Amino acid sequence: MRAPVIRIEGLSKSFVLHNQGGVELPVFRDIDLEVFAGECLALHGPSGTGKSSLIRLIYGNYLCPQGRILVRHDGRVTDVARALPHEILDLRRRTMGYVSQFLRVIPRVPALQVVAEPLRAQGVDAAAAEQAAGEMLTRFNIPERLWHLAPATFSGGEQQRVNLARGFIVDYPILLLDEPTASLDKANRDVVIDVIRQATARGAAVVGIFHDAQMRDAVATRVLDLAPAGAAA
Amino acid sequence: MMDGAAILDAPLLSARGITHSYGARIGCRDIDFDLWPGEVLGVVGESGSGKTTLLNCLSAQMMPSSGKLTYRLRTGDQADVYALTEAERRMLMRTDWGFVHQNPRDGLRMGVSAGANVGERLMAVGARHYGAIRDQVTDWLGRVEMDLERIDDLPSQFSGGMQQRVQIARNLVSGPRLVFMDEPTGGLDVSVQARLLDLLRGLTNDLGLSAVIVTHDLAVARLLSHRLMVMRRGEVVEQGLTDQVLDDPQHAYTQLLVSSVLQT
Repeated sequence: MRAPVIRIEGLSKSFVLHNQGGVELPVFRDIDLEVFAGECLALHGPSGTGKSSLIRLIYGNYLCPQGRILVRHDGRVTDVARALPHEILDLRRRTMGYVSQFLRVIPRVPALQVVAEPLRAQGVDAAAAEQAAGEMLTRFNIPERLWHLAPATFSGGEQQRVNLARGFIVDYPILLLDEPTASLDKANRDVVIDVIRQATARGAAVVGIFHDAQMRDAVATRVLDLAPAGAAA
Repeated sequence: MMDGAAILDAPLLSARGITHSYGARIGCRDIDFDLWPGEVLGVVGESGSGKTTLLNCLSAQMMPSSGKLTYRLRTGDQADVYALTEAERRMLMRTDWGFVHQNPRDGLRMGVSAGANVGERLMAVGARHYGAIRDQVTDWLGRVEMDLERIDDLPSQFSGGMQQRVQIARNLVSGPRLVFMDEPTGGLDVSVQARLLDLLRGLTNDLGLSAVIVTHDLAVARLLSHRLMVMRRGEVVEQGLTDQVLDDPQHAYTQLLVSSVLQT
């Protein structure tokens, strides 16, 4: 039988707000999940059901206090919940890509470099990485005159396309997408559908949140319904 | 590359139980961590939290009251830093370590030129050929975006941001493996700060440097550090991957720090 690329066991998560009377906000309890190579799993459910949190937990951005998040990395299995910071960074460098809803802009760094950075982090030389970055930006319809500008002044849609170009420039075995198309027009949504299909075709496992039902139907091979915390487990 | 893989499996610097008190007052208490090769560790907390005391202990500028610090030398041997002789320790600081002070005046010699400030460091590790030294100095001042026409000017004639860049060049020219930085962008205008941050980020990425950076600015920590330690009243209250500590803070104090930052 095929081994999953991601395997989640008994994952529970809640947030404790220490400065607001120690309020505890449960997100979900006891989640089990397997994701296989070549599939695109869409997380579905009303807001507040922890879709983004689940993606952030897999990426190691949120702390996992309970349960295991096993990710196949480098021919071995790494538990994100127990991994040391430098191990998570290595996982992100080579195995897991993540496209958030918004681009985090860094002052002074031009779009071309923002997109090239994940390749540079893998040791690709500057010229080859920038060449690839230019191709990705072209694919996402970012005109060349913007490549050498820092994206801070770009429109929301342009920033998001830079973000997507950056997320898809490396052929990661795992891709995590948190509403990547929220601010895109139809033409650019179609580009995203294409790149996601290409990713699953080469064997990547994709876990995504797609608010737009049309988008979801176009790419998802499986849908996971998340229920509000406390309702079910 | 077998060597590289082997090296990645061992920390560069290991701190265990580092404690320093000033009489009855605690500077820092029971600090434990491992710094891995190529890793940038940020230390955050408000003033008086013990960040600078810890940095001074880690960089052996100060002897802690107790604790052990182990550094892995280029040879692969482990050095017990606090047990080294004064001469050995000074040698280590010259050849393997750098220290970037918040105030460039503390890290530069104000009476000699920018070029000499950078060249001096090379001569301290044995460089003697004038032409080669001059070439390296020019190369480094270029990398920190200094106007090369000003290579013979005194640092006192420079702006704060330029002085800071000379100090960075002086520290990096000798190829250190570990750099300590105390509020490296503190006291600079925001635009100058952004430029310096961009520079530091590029340098740590490209050179694969390990670094410990003390800052009270969470945005600086997010931009520059892989890993974060949050200090309060001399103790580490939380540590972990930088974005995890900032986006999902666990400790009440970290939550307070994160929620106090103005969103832009």
